[in-house]
Amino acid sequence: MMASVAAPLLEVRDLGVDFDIGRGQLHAVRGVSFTLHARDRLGIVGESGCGKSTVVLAMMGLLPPNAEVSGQVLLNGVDILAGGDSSMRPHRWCDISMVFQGAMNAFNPVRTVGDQIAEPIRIHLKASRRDADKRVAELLDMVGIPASRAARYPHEFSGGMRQRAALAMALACGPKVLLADEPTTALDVIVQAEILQLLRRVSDDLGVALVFISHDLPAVAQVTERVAVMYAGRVVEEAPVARLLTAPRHPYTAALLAAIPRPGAAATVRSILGEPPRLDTPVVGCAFAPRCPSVADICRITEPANTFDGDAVVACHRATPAGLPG
Amino acid sequence: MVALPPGERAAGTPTRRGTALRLITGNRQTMVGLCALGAFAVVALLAPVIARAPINTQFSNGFAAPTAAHPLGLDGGGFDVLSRLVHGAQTSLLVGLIAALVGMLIGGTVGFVAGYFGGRTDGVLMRITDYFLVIPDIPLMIVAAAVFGQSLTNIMIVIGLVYWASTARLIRAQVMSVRQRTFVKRVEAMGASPFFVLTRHVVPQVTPLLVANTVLMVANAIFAETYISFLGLGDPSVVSWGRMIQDALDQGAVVAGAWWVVLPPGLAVTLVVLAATIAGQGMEDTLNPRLKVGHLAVRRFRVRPLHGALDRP
Repeated sequence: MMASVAAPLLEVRDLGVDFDIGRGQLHAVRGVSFTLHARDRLGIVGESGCGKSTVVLAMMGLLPPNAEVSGQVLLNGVDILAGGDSSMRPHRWCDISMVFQGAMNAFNPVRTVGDQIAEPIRIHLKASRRDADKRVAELLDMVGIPASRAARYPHEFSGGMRQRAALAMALACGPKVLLADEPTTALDVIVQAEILQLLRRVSDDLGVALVFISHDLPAVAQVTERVAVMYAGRVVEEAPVARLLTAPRHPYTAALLAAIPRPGAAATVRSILGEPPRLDTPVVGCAFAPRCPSVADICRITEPANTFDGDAVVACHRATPAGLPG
Repeated sequence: MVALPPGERAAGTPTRRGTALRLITGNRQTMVGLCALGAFAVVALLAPVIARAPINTQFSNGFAAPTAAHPLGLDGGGFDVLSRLVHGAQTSLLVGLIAALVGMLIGGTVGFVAGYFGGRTDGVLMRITDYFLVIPDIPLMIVAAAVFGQSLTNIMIVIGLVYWASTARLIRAQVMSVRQRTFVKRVEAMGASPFFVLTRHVVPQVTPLLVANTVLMVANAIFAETYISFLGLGDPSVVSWGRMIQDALDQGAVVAGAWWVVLPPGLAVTLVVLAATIAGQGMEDTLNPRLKVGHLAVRRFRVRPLHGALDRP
C-alpha cells in the first residue's frame, strides 16, 4: 500500500470540527488525516465521545449548523467540503454513502423497505419505478435478502436483515466510498460476524473503499487492513491491523487491547483508569497524559506531533519504533 | 425491536393503507362517533324529504304542542320545529366542517413550515401563534362577526381563524420530533430536497394526527357556531340550531313551558358535539396507545364540553 503510485481515491487532510456550544467551543475533532484507495478498508476505533461519528458526519456534510469544519476532504483530488451544502449534494450517496448507526431507525416504519432502498436511485439517477425496482432486487440479492421481501415493512425484518437492507440502501447508487458507523452495534455475535463478512465481500466485489467506525476493536480487526485509534478528537495511532494488535506503540492502544476480554485467558480484563478530558477547554500537552501509565514530564507540556514510521503513524512522546514505551 | 418470524404478519401491522384504515376502524369509540356524525349528515342532506313543512310558513300565532302534522310542534312564531331542526342541521354541519378545514389548512401549514424549517421561521410563526392562543376567543368572534358582517362565510372563516393556533402547535411539535428521527437524517444524507423529505417522509407520519385533530375541531366549530348564533351574531337569513335556541329564549318558550321548542336543538348540538368529540378522541387513542393505559393517560375520561379545550397539556 505504501508503494501505491496511483492518486488516492479519498484523502482527508487535517479535518477539524469545532462545535459552538454557547459558552465556548467544543473541539470535537482535531487534525484527523487519512488516505484511502479503492478497496482500502480503514477502521476507526475509540471510546464514546472521541469524535468517530463526528468525522463521518463531517465527511457527509451532515453536521448541525453550530459545527465549524476545517480541513479538506478530497475525493479524486476535489475538495467536496469547499462548496457548502449545494455542491455536496451530488456527491452524497453517489460518491460517498453511509450506513447509519442503528439500522432500525434508518428506516421509516410506515414505508416498505424496497421503497426506501429505491429512494436514492430515484433521487440521483432519476430512474423510473420499474428500473428502480429491478435495481432494488439486485441490491437485496447482493446482501443476501430474498428480493420478494422488498415489499415488506422494516418491523417485519430481523435486526440482522435490517442491517443488510441498510447496507443495500447505502450501495444503491454505486458509491466509491462507504462509511459504516457502528454497523454491528446491538446485533448478536453470530449476526455480527455475518455482517462483517458481508462488508468485506462487498468492498472486495465492488471495489468500494470502506471506513468502518466502531468501539469494538476485534470487530474492526476482522474487516479492515488498517486501524486508526482516536482519542479526544485526535488520531493517536494508525497502523496495519496486524502491527497494531501485536505491537501497539501508543499507550492508549495498548490499554484498549488489554481491556478486550478473552475467553479462557487467565489474565483479567484491565480497564483504563480515569476518564477522557473535557473537550470544551483547550487540551494542554498530550490528551491521554492524565491516564497514561508511562507518562513523562514532557507529555503534560507539549502535544506530541505525528511520528511516521514506515506504514504507521503514532502521536506519542514516549513511543519507540520497537513498540510500547517503557 | 421485536423481530417477527419470517413471513408472519402481526395484527395491526402499520402499513400505509392500514394506518388510514386503522384510524377509522381501529377503535369502537371512533366508529360510534363517525356513525353518529354520518347519521346527522344524512338527515341534513335529506332535510327536504324528512320535513316537508316549509320553514318560513307560519302555521299559528304562537306555541303549539306536537301533533301528527307537526311532530315537534310549532315555535313562538308559529314555525314548524322539526323542519327548522333538520334544516338547521345543514347549517351547523356545514359551518363545523368548513371552519374545521379552514383551521386545519392554516394550522397545518404553519405547523409544518415552523416545525420543519425551525430557527427564525419557527420563532416568528410561533409568536404569531401564541398571540392567537391567548386572545379570548368568544370576544374575538363577537367583534369579528360585528365588523365583517353577519354572513355564514364570515362565521366559518372567523371560527377557523380562532382555532388554527392549537393545531399549529400540535403539528409543529410532531414535525419537529419526526425531523429528528434517523430516517429523516438518512434521507437528507442521500441528498434529497426539503420538498422530498417533507412530502415523502414527514407528511405521511403527521397526517393521521392532523385528521384526528380536525375531527375534534369540528366539534368545537359546531359549538362555536351555536353560541355565535345564540348571541344574535349569526347569519339572520339562515336557520341554525343556535338561532333556534335564541328564538326560543326571545319568544319566552321556557316561561310558556314549550319544551318541544328548546329541547330538540339543544339535544342536537349536544349529540353532534359529543359524536365528533368521541370520534376524534378515539382516533387519538388509536394513534397514541399510551392514552389507553390509565396511568399514562392525561385524563382517563376525556370529554371536552367547552370550546378551546383542544390545547394539549
